Amino acid sequence: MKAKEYIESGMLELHATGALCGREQTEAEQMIQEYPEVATEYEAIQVTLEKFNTAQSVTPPAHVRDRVLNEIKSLGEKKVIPITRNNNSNSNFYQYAVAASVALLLLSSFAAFYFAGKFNSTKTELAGLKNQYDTLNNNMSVVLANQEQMKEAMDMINGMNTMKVKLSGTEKHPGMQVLVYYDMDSKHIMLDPGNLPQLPDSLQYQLWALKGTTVLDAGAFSPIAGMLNLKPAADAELFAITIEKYGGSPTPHVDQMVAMGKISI
Amino acid sequence: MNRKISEEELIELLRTGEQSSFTYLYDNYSAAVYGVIVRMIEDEEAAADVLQESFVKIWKNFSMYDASKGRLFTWMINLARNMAIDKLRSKHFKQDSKNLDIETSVSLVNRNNQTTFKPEHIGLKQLVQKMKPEFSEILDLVYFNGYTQAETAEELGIPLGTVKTRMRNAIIELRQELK
Repeated sequence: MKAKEYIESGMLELHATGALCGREQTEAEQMIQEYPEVATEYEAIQVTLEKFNTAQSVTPPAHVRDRVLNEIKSLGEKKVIPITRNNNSNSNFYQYAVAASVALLLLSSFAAFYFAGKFNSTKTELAGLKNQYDTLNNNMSVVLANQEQMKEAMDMINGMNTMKVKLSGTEKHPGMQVLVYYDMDSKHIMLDPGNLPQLPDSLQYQLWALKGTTVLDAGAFSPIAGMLNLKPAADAELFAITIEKYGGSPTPHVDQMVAMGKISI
Repeated sequence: MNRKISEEELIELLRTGEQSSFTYLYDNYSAAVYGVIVRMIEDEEAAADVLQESFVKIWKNFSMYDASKGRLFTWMINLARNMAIDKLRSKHFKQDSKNLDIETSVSLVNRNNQTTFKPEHIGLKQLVQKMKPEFSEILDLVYFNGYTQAETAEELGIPLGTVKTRMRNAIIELRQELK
């Protein structure tokens, strides 16, 4: 039987002398609570030790009594009474109060961590959204600028006095197709590079406007996907494109002609 | 001290915080408590200090006493023994006692104090002398020197299990003698 074994073990004797600690002490307390025969044995052990102690009593010096009683008195009711009363009705209140405040503390710490986490992830999300917004905003400006250019180009192309001139490839460059739009009124020129191939970095195409013996420079360009604005040319009957050094030449190298076309009214 | 009151009644009175109940406690228990302290600490003045500190602590911490866990006397005496052990182990005290270690100082106490024991203790002295040396030895270590089981086992060079059974047999013998 568990209780009998425990009694025989000698643990109760050690417990009575305060020689146990930790787990063994807790175990001893539990055994005493649980088994009446253990409790009875423990009581007998304590009584024995009490007699053993009392038998070797030594009366302390009389002045110690005064010192102790004075110190107790000076501690006063203020401190002592609340402590002893705590054990009765108030202790429950304080235990609950302490438990409640601990629980509250835990709860609010948890909430603080939880919301701090939430706040941080919201912050990150917001930063991400702001980036996206900025990107979209930039893209939008680009799109709007493009649209503006397109509109200008369309307006110019569809203008009442605008001529559409088709330039075709020379013998050396067969199959080239370039379109030049020429506003006869404003002398404004736009060019659609069509299927002109890219050139090495050192070279550019150059557009020339010709009328009779006059040759006018209408600007050097590199082909892009879209319309190019070129220099206005005072008078033109014919347009030609040559390959020139980057930035263009004052006079055309006729042997480098790529395409040409005549304005047909 | 006019009339003897039961331990239960005394505990009830102490719980009310009534100072006269404490006076009663001191008058009835201080000699037993001091008997243990003075046996552990050789210096009478230091022992008196420990007695004072112990009773003040008993008063202050009375709300921590749980009657379901043991007798009032057991609680008080163990509290006082712990205070005495703390005192013996404190640096200050060791210096004062010319660096005697605990064991030496305690056994010194034992020798010195036996002569100061009062006549009514002679019976007990005989009793302890009558006991098997191994029993009085273990009581001495555990009870008056505050050794833990492990420390006792090491000091006596015996297994832990033997500490327990020897302690039990020592108290059984005491019990029969003190009946």
